[in-house]
Amino acid sequence: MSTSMLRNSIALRTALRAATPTATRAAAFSTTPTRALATLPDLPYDYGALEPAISGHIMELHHSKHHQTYVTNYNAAQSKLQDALSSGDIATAIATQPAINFNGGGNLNHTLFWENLAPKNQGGGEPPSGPLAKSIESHYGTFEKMKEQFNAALAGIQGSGWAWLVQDNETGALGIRTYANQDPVVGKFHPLLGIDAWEHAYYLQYENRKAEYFKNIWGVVNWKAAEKRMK
Amino acid sequence: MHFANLTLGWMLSLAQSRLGVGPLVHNKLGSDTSFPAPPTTILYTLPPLDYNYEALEPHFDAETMRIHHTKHHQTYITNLNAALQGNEFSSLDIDELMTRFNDLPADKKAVVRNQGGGHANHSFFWKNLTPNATALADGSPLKTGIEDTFSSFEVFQQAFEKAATSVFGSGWAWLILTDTGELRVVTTANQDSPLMGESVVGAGAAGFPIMGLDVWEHAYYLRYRNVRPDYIKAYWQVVNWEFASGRYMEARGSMVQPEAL
Repeated sequence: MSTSMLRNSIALRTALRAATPTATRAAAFSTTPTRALATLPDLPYDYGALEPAISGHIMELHHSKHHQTYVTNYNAAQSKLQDALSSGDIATAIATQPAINFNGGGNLNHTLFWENLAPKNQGGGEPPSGPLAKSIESHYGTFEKMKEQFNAALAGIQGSGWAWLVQDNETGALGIRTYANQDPVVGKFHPLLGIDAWEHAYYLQYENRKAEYFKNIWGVVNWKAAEKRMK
Repeated sequence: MHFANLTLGWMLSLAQSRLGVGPLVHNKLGSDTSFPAPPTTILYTLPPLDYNYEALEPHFDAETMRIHHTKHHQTYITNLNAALQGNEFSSLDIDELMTRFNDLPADKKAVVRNQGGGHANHSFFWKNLTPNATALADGSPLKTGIEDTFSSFEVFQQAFEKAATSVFGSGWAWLILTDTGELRVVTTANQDSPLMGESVVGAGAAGFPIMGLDVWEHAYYLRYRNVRPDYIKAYWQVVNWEFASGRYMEARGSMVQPEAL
């Protein structure tokens, strides 16, 4: 029993460490469980820098409130998980999984999102080049056709979620996939470019007119970040 | 005679659109009138609110009420009508459409789940709110039922608040009556309705809605931003307990009472 607990504990802690981009690496040989605290990443631009596509007011709320809450609640959930693992409380360890998924996913998704947006003077809106551009052409024909499919995916999201341009980890093929709520892009695919379709991402500026938001946001998409994520 | 036919024809199509059914004898009456060509069949229509958009201030803001009703709810109806044009299920009242969810053809289920659910839930929601909220009366059947189930009304409120806060993403919090006569606080995702039954919402959340709260961000973001708990607290000021009590009596009336067994 204690062997499998230790195995689970190591596997989970490894996964958790990998999942927090700003985490500090805990002492490798420590026998007491240590926690790598997630922290809110800084934006590489001012809140108002993405106007008029996304208002400064939305950016401030989205970053300092919504994303911060995911970070805070993820840290609380992983603390609860660690305690449960340490005390062998398997039921509680399993019960914290939804909160880990939701808040950890929210942290991951938003961290990637801020990176794949940029003001025009930092390359926002410039189409991709290099291998990513070639891959988009071979999969979708043209860059515009890819955007059409992407926007169709966004429009089709029911409730809260994200649309991502993803890459298949085995084949390298591109795909456009939607994920509900804060489900992260893990497993078979890794994320290249994401657009947040939660109402909080646009409501104060666009109200129910989400098609307008989906159209305008392409003007501040940072394809260089997506290019760096290609494998 | 000509004038009477005109009036009757107009009244008939008005009645049809109110009842949410398609035209029956559309131009047979007054065939020598100059009615324009019949519109595409009106299926479901936007129900009017019993109060003005600003009536629920300061708890629910006027702008949200207006957009929520005229844009979000209307869009569900428009999309539902487009999907069910010419389909026999469109003759059902919206709540009945929800309870008959499992009978729908497979290719209609997703759209009815989202758009029909949206229409049903919001139609219910507007009646669940009132500018003239009064406390649920002591000794009333619903209050007694709540106290028996949750040990006190305050415990029920805490359970409801916790449920409404804990919805990850979009959804609703409800007080339902299950078909075994149990009052329960449940949540559903997106526009799922407890009326759709357990194959959609799971065994725990299936039942008859008594009262409910929309926790999609569009329901509160303009006034409350990210602070959903403040919106949930405000909800208690506008709950229509008379309507909820009526729902409870309606649901229990169609059930065998445990005492009678």
